[in-house]
Amino acid sequence: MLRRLLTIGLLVGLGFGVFGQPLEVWLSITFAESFNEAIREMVLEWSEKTGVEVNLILLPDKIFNEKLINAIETRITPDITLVTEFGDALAYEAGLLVPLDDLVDRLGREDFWPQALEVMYLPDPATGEMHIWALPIIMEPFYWHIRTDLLQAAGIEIPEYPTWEWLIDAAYKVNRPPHRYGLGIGFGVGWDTPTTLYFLVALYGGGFVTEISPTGADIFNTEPTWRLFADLKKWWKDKLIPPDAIAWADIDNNLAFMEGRVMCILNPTTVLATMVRTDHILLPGTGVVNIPPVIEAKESILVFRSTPEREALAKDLLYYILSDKERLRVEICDKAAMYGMPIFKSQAEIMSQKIRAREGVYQYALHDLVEPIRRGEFYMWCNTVPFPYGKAHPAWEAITSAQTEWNRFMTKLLLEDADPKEVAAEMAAWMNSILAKWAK
Amino acid sequence: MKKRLEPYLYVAPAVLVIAAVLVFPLFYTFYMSFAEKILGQAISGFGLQNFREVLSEGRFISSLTKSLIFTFVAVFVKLVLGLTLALLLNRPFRGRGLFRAYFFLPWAIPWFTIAIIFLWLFRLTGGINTMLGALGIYPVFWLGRDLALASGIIANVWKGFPFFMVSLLAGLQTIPRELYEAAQVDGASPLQQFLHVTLPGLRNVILIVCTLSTLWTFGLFELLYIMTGGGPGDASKVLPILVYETGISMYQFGKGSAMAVLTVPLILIWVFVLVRLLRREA
Repeated sequence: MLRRLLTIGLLVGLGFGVFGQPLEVWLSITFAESFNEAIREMVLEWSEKTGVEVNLILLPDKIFNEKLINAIETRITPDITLVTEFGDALAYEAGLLVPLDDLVDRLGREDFWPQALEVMYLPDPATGEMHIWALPIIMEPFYWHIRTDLLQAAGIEIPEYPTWEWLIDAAYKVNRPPHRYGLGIGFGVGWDTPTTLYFLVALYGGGFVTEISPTGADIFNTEPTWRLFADLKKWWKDKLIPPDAIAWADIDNNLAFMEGRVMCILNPTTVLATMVRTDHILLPGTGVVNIPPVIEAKESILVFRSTPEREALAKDLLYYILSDKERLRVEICDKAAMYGMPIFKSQAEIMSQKIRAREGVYQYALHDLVEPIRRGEFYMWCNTVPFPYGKAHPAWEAITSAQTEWNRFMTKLLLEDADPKEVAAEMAAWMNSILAKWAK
Repeated sequence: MKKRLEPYLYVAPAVLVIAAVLVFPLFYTFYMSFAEKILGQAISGFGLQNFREVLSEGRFISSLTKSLIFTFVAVFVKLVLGLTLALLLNRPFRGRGLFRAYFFLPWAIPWFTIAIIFLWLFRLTGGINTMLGALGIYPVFWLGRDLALASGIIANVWKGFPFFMVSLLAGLQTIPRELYEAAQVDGASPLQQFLHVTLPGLRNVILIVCTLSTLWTFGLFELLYIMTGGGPGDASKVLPILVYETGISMYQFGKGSAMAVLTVPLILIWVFVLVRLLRREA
């Protein structure tokens, strides 16, 4: 019996040695089912065409993130990760990534949004040469979902390109607490808190990190943040923000909007897509707008170091997926209520045309959503890249993923009525303490 | 010689498996707690820096306190509820088997599902407030700063009491009927019978279920992580959430390990007390 088992083990081992292990691809499941399915189909098509076996693993985002971090720590990595929302910088710092410059050139460098290529354009730790270490597969813009029906009822006109001042003014005009709140921004434990602050700090002209040093976050403890925090307190006290927003999970702002509790929220169009799919009662009175600076979460592609042959195969598979630009746009944009902004300018232009033609799901865009992106009024990869630093860094990943800490500072500001300057100073000191660890 | 070695050979595979899955991670965590180690990076030094940081920040003590409150309140309520139901279900009545199965149901539901259910129930516009609203009662902010930990305890008790109930029910059935008959002959009231026959008879079962439940509740991560994420503020940030956030989310593996190591003495003390109590009984 034992001999038989040993023989089987030996044969399996030899099999792997001779034929090699399948190419391993991890896909973090996106909200857009059509996109997930399209990626799966494209991987299968490529596999059939080339005869290369691919092991595609679809994972929910939280499990994906943990699995990726474990892979980086143990250095037992897959060949490709797709829709990676977190951990790119950690993987780069660990020296595990393959540069993707050649893939970018093959796909047409001029067709990419340049900002999307910049944030992971970093030196090779070994040679110092600059390379692109990650690409977005989609950009995930955070749009303002607004209740157009409420605004119309209140006689408020929606300008073609709304501003923040307009939004706050409108929010006050339709505010009816405790039944309806003007401003649906959440500060609970989740990604929405850093994302919302990312937007607001940028809007107020502030910043988070200037350099990776023990004083790199000093910029946060300056006048723009103090002003923002003072305004946040005012909106909180005026009951413009729902009182439970301090305990919102990432889904709660979506629900608050769909329950009719808030006039507006900042979110990817997962909300709009759900409303379209369910033919929600509030859908006819809902629209989405961009208020610059637009926050673009990244969903990136990483290729991990292995052997030259495997790396080449991985890039070929990626080329197969990304070169079908039209298909990617249809799956992530047309079929998913504009959930993903195309990474290619040419496809974004098609999106722009469809918005202007008010075609299908694009009718819910109240203006050309591509325009601010075209003008460069956006920030990329908020959970990986601090501004004005502008490059992906694991220290920032560590800071943004400490979501209970962000919530703690907001609790102090809003519930404990702490001084804005005191909270800004504490938050900057906390960020500096993390930056200091990476600056060593 | 061969005969003497034989028993060791039989247990060797089990010992090796336990060493691989239990002892190694334990020692590795202990080792890491002294390491200046960021995830993905090589160890940059050794020392007591992690412990110094953990103990000086105050977050650890705050989370430890919340963990202790969460654990002891939850275990106490589970014990009281489990014992009450066990006593009720130990009496003969029609449909007793059905009720036993019914009350055991929550135990069969995974923590993840329990967390989602209670998250939906406790939201400001969730199930409980909808019911309260129907009664004309103003909504309660169950997941707010004042009630977040208590809401977690309610969810924990709901899932955990069947374990107490079933274990104590089994314990009750081992107490000889003659003891109750003798007590009745001596004129003992139902309360005296409970205090002097039932409770001593259940002593070992209570000790064991309380110990197991304490260890499980103290180390429980997913319930509060999903329901509250540890917030608002630090209101429900129990130790497992703090350790996870520090070690995994913030990439500070060494510091997270130090936090985990600092809880080991507490657990050891609890197990030591239990063993002493059980020995005294023996």
